[in-house]
Amino acid sequence: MMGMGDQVRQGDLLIDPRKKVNEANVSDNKVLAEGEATGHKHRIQGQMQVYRQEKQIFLDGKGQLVHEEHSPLELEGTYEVIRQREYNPINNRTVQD
Amino acid sequence: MPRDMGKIYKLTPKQEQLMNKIRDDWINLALYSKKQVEFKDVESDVEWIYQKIGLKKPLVIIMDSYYGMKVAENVLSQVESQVRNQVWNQVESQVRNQVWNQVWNQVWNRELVYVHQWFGLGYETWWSFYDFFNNIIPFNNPDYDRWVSFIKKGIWSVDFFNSVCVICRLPVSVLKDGEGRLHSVSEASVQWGDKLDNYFIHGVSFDKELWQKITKRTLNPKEIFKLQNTAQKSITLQLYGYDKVLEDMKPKIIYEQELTIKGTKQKYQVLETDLGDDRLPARFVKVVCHSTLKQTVLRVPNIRQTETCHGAIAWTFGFEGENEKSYKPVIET
Repeated sequence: MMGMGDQVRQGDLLIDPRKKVNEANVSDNKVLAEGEATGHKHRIQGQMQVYRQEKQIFLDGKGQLVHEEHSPLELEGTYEVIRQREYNPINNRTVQD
Repeated sequence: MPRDMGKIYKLTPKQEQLMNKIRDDWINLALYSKKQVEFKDVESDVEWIYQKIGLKKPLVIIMDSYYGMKVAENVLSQVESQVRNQVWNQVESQVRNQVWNQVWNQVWNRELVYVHQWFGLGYETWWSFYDFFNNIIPFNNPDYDRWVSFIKKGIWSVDFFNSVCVICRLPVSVLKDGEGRLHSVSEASVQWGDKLDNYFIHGVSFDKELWQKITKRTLNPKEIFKLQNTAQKSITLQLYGYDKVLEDMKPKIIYEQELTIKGTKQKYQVLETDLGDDRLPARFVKVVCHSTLKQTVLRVPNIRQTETCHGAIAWTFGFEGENEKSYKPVIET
């Protein structure tokens, strides 16, 4: 059973709890990641606020993380969104599903 | 009067916004405006530039692509010895040096650092840098203004020779991936008016023939591993998907873990095979999606942590070394 502020994962996104949102700007864009290969999107629904600072994304409040292929996740609290990466000998790249 | 009176030590938020706007304006002009400059648009500007450096009005050649421009210059240099003599330095000293001191006296200090970033308007972009300062400390320099208006007519690149001026038009289409790298797997990512296009996959350049083989998947795994350019090899492996390529490679199983997902028995594995593109054999973690049961193979670095499935997956989310144990999602979907 998931509790408030648990670490959870939806496909290539890890939702990792934080004590507070670091310096970041409120963003109206609720799409956390867009799949280049499939066009599917991880996006936030509900009252949860999305914050962005360069490539970092934070979430705060209560909402639902949805995706066309993955089961939805209920979220409540403060989190950082971590995108899965893959090693390559030149430089690491983020995974896109 | 203090020597550095009037020097800029820190940009105001408004000036930072302006810098971003001017950067974007130049990027939009160079990559997306599709302006196709004509002879009549630049004839008088070129004449003015040559007057400034004391030369006669040159022959003006306008090419549709950067490759076409370089071919034209090479052909001309075979038949006209004068063409070999570039006069760029004279042009720069007439236009750039006039505003050089004005800018650097006001911004050159330890607190304010300018990071030069290429964005593709030919190989010389000093004028975009000066454009920002011209907006906050106006130069009131008609020569600089005329130079910028000449470039803004749609010049990707310009080379000045004694008797010939060669201009390259802007590309007609530029395609990028989500991370801003030149990219397309359906058409050329930089398209020029003469069709001498450039092909890129996630920022890595390919010639047309190889790009076609890769995007149509006619290159087999063995041919991929024979690619000499490691950047091309790596990006091709990613595009094909390591899982498909690995099927043919019979990789060594380093670690295996069985788990039940949606009532079915599934296996996570750490696999290793030598792809010849890195110092050590390539290592992969094979996982199963908890929602779709699709298998995914992700490449991880060949380090101690990735010898187990947990360590390898934790690495893919940035949990490295001591932090590996902090990767423990209570739900995976």
